[in-house]
Amino acid sequence: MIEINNLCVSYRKVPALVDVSISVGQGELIGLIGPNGAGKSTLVKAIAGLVKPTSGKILFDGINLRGKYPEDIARLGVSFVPEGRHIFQSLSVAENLSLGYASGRGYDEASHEAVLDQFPALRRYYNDSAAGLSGGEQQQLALARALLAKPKLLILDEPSLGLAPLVIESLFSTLQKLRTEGVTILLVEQNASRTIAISDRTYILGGGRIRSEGTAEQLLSRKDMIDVYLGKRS
Amino acid sequence: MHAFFQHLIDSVTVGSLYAVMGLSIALVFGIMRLVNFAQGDLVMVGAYGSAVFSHSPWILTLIIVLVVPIAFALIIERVAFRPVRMASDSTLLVTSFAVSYLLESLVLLFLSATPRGVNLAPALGHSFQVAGLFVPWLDVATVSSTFVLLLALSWFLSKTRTGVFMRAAAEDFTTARLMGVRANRIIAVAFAISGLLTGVTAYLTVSKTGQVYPTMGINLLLVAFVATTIGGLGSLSGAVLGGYILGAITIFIRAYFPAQLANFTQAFTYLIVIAILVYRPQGLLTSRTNRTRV
Repeated sequence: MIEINNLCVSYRKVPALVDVSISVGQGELIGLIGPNGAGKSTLVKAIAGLVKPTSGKILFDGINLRGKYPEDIARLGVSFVPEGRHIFQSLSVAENLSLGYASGRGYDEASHEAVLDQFPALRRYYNDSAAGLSGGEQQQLALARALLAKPKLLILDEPSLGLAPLVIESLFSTLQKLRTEGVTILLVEQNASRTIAISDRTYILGGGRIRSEGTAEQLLSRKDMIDVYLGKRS
Repeated sequence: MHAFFQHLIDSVTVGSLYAVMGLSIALVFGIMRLVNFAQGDLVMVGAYGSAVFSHSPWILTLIIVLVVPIAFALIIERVAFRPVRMASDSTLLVTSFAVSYLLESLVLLFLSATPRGVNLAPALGHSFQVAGLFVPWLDVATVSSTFVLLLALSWFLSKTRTGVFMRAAAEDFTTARLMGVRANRIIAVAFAISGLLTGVTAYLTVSKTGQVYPTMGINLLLVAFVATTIGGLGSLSGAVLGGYILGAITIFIRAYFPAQLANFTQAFTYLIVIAILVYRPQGLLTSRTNRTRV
């Protein structure tokens, strides 16, 4: 699905990512965790076309995404839910959802309804301004908007940020459900233990490099690693 | 009282012109965060189109006046603004000045600096009387075409997919692109619509003044820019509101000022503008959009 090889990104000569290689296979839920400033957001922004890598390859279904515009990457089937959700506040909920069709997938009633069924709040406030939604509802809107594009790869950048614990609970169960439905997901999170638990594999990023990678069992057997890079609280 | 209503008709007419011109500026600003100072010269270009084709059937002249500014707006966007889109705001601003001078110089080079008289729509030169008020047909045409444009634009922005994408892009261009909205296309559409609006302005202005000359767009641009600033830069309804307010201030000051102060009417107009901006520096209606550009 997506294959990243030896990716390097620098901000004004300060390296943010050094030789990062990760891969996400069809139908996998892959976690990407690490402390603040580790380069998690930089990595997914590079995939989405918001950050220009200095070297390396980003192959998506065999197509190199490097140097492509964000809208062209979206049109190839990568849906990116940015950190902070970025709901269009001046648009209604319905209009926000219509942006899900901007990537060229035609509107289809059945799948539109199916997505709405997963997020009842959106149906309730369908014609209201999106600015009135709570944080959790805005996250649902961002997720629904991304799903309407029928993405081949769904990338979520810190979706649980700023949400109440109960809302985070339902977010993670939604993600698990999406995984069983066959959606390929790359999940960037601060919430390490949760992410490791639901992911097929998780990459640990620290100081711009991949520090470790593995399944839940593999990573949990290396508790020392997690403590070093993420601190004991997680 | 009678005179008051006569002035009211005038101010609504002038306000309509300012509103349409203001909209053309606000539309491009909303998407690009660029005050396109070449917008006035698009009016001039359209006006020259009418001068060159003034002896054709009126419908052909009208089409020329509308199409020429659209074509120039699209060319300017493609050739001048797209290559510097990622540059700083001031680079874009300077580019718009350069385009403005270029268009004026082209007219000087290929046509002439002397004003040309054009009798665009003689039929609109007549007026009719209602309740003792003189109403020029041109005023009716100006106000009604403005209303049609406003209705059409608001329908486009709220009911069509491209319109909704444009509003999304105006609020947060990067996220709109992440959703798959094509930046080049949405900006081109914005320039095309603003070109159409300037075309309408050109037709109505030339019909009113009967003159075309290379610098005719400059004053109109400044007035419209002031109108959008009063209304709140970036807000489309603000541009319209600002246009009508500025139209009313201009006409009523001219009408009710003592004759010996006639030379200072413009100064007093802008004194009121300054007072409004001191009271509300962000403009009367502020847009909710954040300040991101492409």
